[in-house]
Amino acid sequence: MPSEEGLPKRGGKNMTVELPVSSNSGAEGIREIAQQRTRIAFLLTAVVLILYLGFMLLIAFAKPMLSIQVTDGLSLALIFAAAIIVLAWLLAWYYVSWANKHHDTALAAHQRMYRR
Amino acid sequence: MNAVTTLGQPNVAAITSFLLFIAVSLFITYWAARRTRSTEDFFVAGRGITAGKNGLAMAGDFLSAAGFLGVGGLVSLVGFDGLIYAFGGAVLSWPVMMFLYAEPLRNLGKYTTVDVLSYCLRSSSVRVVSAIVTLALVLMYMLLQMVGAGNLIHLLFGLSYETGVMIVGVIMTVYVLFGGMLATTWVQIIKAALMIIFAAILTWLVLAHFGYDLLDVSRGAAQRSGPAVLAAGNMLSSPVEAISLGVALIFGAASLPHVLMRFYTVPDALTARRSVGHAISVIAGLSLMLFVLGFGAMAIVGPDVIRSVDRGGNMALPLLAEQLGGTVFLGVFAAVCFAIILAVISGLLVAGAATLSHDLWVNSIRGGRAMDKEELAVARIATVVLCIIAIGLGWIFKGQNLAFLVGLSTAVAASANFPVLVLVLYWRRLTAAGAVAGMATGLIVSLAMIYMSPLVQVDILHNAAPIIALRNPGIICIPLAFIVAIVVSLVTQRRDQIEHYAMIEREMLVGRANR
Repeated sequence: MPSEEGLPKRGGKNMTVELPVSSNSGAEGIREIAQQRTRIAFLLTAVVLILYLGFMLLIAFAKPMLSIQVTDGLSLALIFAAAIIVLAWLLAWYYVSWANKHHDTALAAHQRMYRR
Repeated sequence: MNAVTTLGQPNVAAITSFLLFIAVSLFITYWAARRTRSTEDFFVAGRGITAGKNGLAMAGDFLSAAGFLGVGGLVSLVGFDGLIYAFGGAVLSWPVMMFLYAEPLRNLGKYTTVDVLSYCLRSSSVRVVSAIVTLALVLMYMLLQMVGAGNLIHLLFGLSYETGVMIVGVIMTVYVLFGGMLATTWVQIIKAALMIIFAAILTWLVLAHFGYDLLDVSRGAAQRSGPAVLAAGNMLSSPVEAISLGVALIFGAASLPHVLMRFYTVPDALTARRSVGHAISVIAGLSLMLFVLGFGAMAIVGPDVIRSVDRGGNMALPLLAEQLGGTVFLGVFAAVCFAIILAVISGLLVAGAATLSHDLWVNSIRGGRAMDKEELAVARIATVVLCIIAIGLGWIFKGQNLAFLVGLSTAVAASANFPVLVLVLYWRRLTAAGAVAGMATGLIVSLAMIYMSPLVQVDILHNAAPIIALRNPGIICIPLAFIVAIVVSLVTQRRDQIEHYAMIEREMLVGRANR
């Protein structure tokens, strides 16, 4: 499946957010945290879309391929369909664990430093 | 009514389980009513729902009896093609909702998503237009659910369609009117739990029937109806139509007002995120079970028998329950279906009442100067009014072909709600004028394109040819709404645009200061 193996690396790249201690209100740090979450959110949304549209296009263009039965009673169409549901669940799980680990920590650290 | 089944005949197990459900839910309503004092209690259950409960309630709001029995039935009749709708609409929209919306909406909103838009864009015209879009969506879904409920109750219990619609309407009003969001949430939690439990029991019975060999289920189905049912058939032959439907299902189902409203019932963003995680687990699990149940019904009951009871296949799962578990199990299963049907419009009612009372009455007409007490009273009146409308619509549209409405509601959610919601959260240059133009474009273009499509022109007006061939307008109206919102925003930029967005971006993470 596309770009699955690339995900953990991307999430881990900026895992410790560097807080700009010198800035007066912490606005820079908040921006960075927000933009990092946005990047992950859009990247994962794109993965969902690619998966689903890819599957819909297979349905439109590659019907004979989808009807191949790997073993008796198990067609490629059914395998792909079940795989997509499982992948959707895994992507969500990945996001929750990323956000719990990195996003919440960075945000909490930032809030401690610049409490109003 | 039919020699092959006792469906639709009085059944002691069904009536007992049904009365039990009513008793439990009314007790919950009584309990919730004593805890519902402020508007915050009424609209968002005092923001005290935990992640697990909220996840179940979100799944409950989203999964209708019509959807569950309908998809199961469709699979039992046509096989794999019946699952296509379930993917985009039911499963893949949830991760998108989690990534794009969960935390920002929780932190920016008070009771509704209309609130988020009007707060971020500092505009009351945005409030009015997005309230109209919300109400249009709530009414379309209510109508669809009411018609589905009336039909299902008729098929399951032999009651008349009108009585079914009436029962659903009255019981729903009682839940929402007295118990507010707290009672609604619990009703949805029970509904989702019942759905999982009974789907699991039925799946287990199907597997037991085939000696616990998963592949024997699909082999059995293929034996009965030919191997073609295991792969894609003629549904969605055109790639444009396929993409158009896919995008609209994902973005539309991710932007439903009554589901998004559940983000405000939890204490913080972390809980909002986790709730969606739980909801996804429930929905993914149920979808996978539907594979087994649909093909199981095809193999065990057979499409001919299913069609002889209901042409659309809606009774496939109850028939399967009867065949595998006997009359008593059918009775309990039918009562569970009834509970699922009952719960269906409660979430829509709360969402509609919140928009009418909080967004339109208090913040638009009264300029935000109404007391809590007045807001609550208006919300309760709105609940009753909405319910009367829902019952009336249900009666008027009895027996009508509503396929166009499914397409229309999806297109409106995906093109009037989704683009502007994404832009307001993630694009700093969106202006109030841009948002209004984007929402209006999405709404009007969806309406026009559905009207010109085969769904209305051929299926309803019986014209020889449609004005446009596309059945699913998503591929045109979603990008169009984005473009219009962006272009109008760029020519109506305010001087403090960037600073204001910096504040919004901050509040998306840490919550609104003046809530």
